[in-house]
Amino acid sequence: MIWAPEETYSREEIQAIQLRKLRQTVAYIYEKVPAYQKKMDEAGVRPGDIQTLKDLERLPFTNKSDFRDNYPMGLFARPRKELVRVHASSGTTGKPTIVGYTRNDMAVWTNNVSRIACMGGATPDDIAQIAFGYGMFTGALGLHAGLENIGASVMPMSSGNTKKQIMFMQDMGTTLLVATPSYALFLGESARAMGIDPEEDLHVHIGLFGGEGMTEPMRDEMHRIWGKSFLCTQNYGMSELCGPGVSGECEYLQGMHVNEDWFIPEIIDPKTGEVLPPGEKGELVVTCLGKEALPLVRYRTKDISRLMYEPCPCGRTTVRMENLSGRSDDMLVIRGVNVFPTQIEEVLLQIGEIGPHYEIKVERKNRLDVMTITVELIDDRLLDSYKKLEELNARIRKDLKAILGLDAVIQIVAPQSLQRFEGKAKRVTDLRGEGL
Amino acid sequence: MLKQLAVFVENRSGSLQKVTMALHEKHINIYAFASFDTPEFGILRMLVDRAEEAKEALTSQGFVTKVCDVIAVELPDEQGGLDSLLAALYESNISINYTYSSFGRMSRIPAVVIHTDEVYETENVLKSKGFTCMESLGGE
Repeated sequence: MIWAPEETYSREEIQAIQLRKLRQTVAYIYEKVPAYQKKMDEAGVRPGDIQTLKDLERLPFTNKSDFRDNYPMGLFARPRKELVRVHASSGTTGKPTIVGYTRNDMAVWTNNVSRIACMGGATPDDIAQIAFGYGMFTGALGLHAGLENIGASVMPMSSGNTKKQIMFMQDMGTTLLVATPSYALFLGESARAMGIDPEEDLHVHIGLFGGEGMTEPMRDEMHRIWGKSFLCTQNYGMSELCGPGVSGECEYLQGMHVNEDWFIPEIIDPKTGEVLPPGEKGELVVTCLGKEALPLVRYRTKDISRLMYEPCPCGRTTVRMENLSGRSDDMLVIRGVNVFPTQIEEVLLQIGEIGPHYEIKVERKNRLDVMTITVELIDDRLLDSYKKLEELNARIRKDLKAILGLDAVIQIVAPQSLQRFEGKAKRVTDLRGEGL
Repeated sequence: MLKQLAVFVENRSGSLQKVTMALHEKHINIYAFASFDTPEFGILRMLVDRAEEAKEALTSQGFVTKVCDVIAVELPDEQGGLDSLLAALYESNISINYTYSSFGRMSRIPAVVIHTDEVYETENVLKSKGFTCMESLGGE
């Protein structure tokens, strides 16, 4: 099912819509958001200079640091009272990135997610179990609204509580699962361990996955656990852009269709900022069209991808973005949560009992990501009792959880036992690899 | 009252020996030691002949080390000895943080090493109840 006619427009029609909305958007941000006006003035570009889609390249980029510099709501174009929803995502430091929606933004967002859900095979007959964590994260409520909008029955389970998830799947006959791919694998294996064969005993046949990338080995594993006919697609978005609803895979699994009438994707060389020709791999930059509360122009996602304009057998004409193949910064995605090493560092530096050196290790254990942070003890007063050391351990965990929303394993080691670096330190070791 | 050395050790093979090697190099004599089966990391506690010197040696090699006061009580080798000591502490409402055993090198009498929140007060209580508190386990 194709949700919106815009998904099948000709290239000329799409580009006409994009140009019209782009010109409106640029005039809008110049008028409403002083931070944008300043950046555009500095770049010597005026709203009237945008005559063609190619002129988009003349506009300055927006970075995550712009959110930090204008925290909490300096990039907003509408006053707080016009917002009907606020979400937040990880910031690069202790402060989160705040995003917001007007009533119109909510309607656009919801429809965009409905398109993605339909691409992934959802229908009004489905009963959808949402196993993303609810809360400030856009993923859960985004999919929630999009699925409700197409008429599916939505169960807002949230993440965790695996046995209960499986009970609902059994008793309610869940047909569609929204989760991170690693949690979906974990759920399937947990069901197996409980003596339930997901393929035979459960009715889940659609998976809408996001929050983290799904590699092809993961998809193969998904079929092994959930059955060959399990249609598992991934979709893409980020809170700054709206949340989920930017792009998603259709049943042909040949990249994620971008909702191009609302988002203009570009691929740039992350080093030079130059726009690369179609088909080349580089950093994805996205311009949001027609967003009221938080318009965003040329946002550097730091995600590495490639754009494919060839037609897709599904009938959609929208450009597809290739599955992400990394980041141009050091952000980690752990259990679907975005983590910046700088966030961790900021927390650790405030704890006087440990030294400034640390190491972050991420592994996949039993299908789930485990982050281990190793720190050096420097305060000899803690040697009075083992309890004091344990309390330090617990405090570091708690402080990190407050900022990251994630549990980490803390390893306390003797001073001087971590590697020292001249120049840029390599503090992160990601052992999850390309596999499972 | 005795000076006890506490050293932070990671829970992996060879980590205790790194401590003893550092002490051996400085010709430091270990009279008593205690370590427990804690996960991840632990605290190695020792009574040595020259605690401050030992701390310096270990600190210079990157160990986190602390010196603190502990009590060593002489306990003649006879039935009920430990029981009477623990009973004396219990009667005075004193909790033990940790304890381990050793012996006086001169007297050849067993010794119980005790740490409590208030070691000075504890020592006074024990003395008043007739226990002998040692100033050293060594032979000097």
